[in-house]
Amino acid sequence: MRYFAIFLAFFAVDAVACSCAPTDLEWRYENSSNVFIAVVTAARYEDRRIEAEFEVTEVFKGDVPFSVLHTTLTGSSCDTTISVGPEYLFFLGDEGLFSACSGHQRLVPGQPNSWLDLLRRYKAGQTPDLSSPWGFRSHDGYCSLRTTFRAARGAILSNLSLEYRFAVPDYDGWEIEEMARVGYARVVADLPTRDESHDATIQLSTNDKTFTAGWSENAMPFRRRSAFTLNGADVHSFAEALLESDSVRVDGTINGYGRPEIQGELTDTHIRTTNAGDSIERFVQCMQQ
Amino acid sequence: MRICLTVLILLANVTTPALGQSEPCECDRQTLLRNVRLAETIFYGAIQEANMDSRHSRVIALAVDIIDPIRGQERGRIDVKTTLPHACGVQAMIGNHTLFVISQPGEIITLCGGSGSNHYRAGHELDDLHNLLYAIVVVESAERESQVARSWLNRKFRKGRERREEMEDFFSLLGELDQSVLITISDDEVVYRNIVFVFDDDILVDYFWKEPS
Repeated sequence: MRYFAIFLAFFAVDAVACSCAPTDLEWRYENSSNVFIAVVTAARYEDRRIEAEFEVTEVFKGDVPFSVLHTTLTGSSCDTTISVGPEYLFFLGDEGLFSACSGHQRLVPGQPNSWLDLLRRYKAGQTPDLSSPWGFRSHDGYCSLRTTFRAARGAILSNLSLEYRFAVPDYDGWEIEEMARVGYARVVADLPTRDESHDATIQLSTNDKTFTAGWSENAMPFRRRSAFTLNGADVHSFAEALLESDSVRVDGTINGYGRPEIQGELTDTHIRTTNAGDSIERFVQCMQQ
Repeated sequence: MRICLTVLILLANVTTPALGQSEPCECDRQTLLRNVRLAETIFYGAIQEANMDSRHSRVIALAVDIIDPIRGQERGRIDVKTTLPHACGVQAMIGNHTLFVISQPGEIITLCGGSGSNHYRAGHELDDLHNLLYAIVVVESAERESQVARSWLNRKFRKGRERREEMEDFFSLLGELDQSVLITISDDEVVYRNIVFVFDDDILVDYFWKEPS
C-alpha cells in the first residue's frame, strides 16, 4: 500500500513527463505479436504489480498466448493502470505486459473508433494495408484533407494536410490583420522538426509530378507553427495529382535540431492513399466550387 | 489530490482516448444529494482489486482501501459492489482514488448515488458536481474536525487565486447537503456555520474559523 501511494505520487508530479513515441496503427500492428479486443474482468494490485484477467472478444493478430495481463510499477512517470469492465483494444507482445506506451485503447460502446474500423476492414480483406486514413472536413468556407505518415525511417509520426479557405468566416472578435490573412490554399507537411534553415525544402512526388515545399515559419495563420509548406496554384495541381496516385513520396533533408534520431534524409517515406476513400475527391471538388 | 486526479486524466487520455465521453447518466441531482445526506457510510478510497464473475456480469466487486474516512467507517479495507461503467458504475480502475457513498451495507453503488471521482463524473455529464467531495468533507468536519476541513479546503481552493464565481456551486452544495443551517452571503463574505470565506474583488483572499458567539 505504501508503494502504491508512492506510485500515485509519481503520477501527480511526473506523469506528464512520460513521453511515448507517437505511432500510427500500422506501426502498432507490425510491432505487436498480439492485437485483440478483450474485456478486463478482474484486476488486482499487489507487491508493485498490477495483474489483470481478461476475456478475448475479437482477435486481429496472434494467438494471445497468455492468460494474464500485467504491468510492474517502477515508480517512474510511465507507470500505468487499467479498469475492470470496459473493452480494450490491446497491442501486446507474447508476455501480456502492458505499459503506458503500449497503446491500448479503451473502447466505448457506440462510439466510433477509426483504428478499430480500419482493423476490421483489414481483417475482412476490404483494404490491403493499415496505412493511415485520410480525413476530409469542410466548414465555414474552409476545407481540409489530412493524414498522418511515418518519416525518418519510421522514427517520427508526421502530418500532411491540404487546406483551402475560399471564404472569410463571419466570426466576432477577429482582428483586421487576421482577417486579411484568410483566403489561401496550401499543403503543409508538418514534420516535428524545428529551426530548419530558411532555404530548406522537401519534395513531394506523386506518380509523375514533383512539388517543392519550402520551410515556412509561422506557416499557419492564427497559430504559431512552422512547417514545410506548398502554396498557391501548386496546391490545386498537387491535389489533382493525388487523385491519380497511390502514394506521395517525401524526399529531402531535415536537420532535426534537438532530435538526433530524426536528423538526415527523408528517403523511403511514402504517404499511401490506400485508405483515403473518397476524401481526396471531395477535397478537389471543394477547391473547385 | 487535485493534481493527482488531473494527472490520472492525462494518463488515461494517453492510452484511452475515449475516456470522458461515456454515455451520460440520467441522475437526478436532488435524489443524488438526498442520498448523500442520508448515507450510512462515506469515505475516500483507493481501489486495490476489482472482479467480475464473467464478461457478461453486470456487477463489479471492489476491494477498496479507505484512505480518508468521512462518515461511519474507520481506515481499513472494505468490499464494495458497483455497476458496469456504461450503467453509471464507479470507474473500477486499479489505484483510482474515488469517493464512495454507501447508503446501506451491500448496496450496489453508482454515480447517481454520489460515488465516483470528479473526472469520471464529468465524463457522464455530471460536471456540476465537481466540488461534491469537498463539500461533503466540509459539511462533515466543519465543527468537529476543523483541521480536516481546513486541509481539504487547502487542497481545493487557493487563497489569492480562486474566483468567487468558481466557488458558487461549492457554496450551493454546502447548502443543499446541510439543510440545517443558512449560509450567509454578502458582497465580501460567505459564512457557512463558523467558517468565514473572505473575498476581495471577487477573489478568495482568506477563510477562517470564527469563535463561537
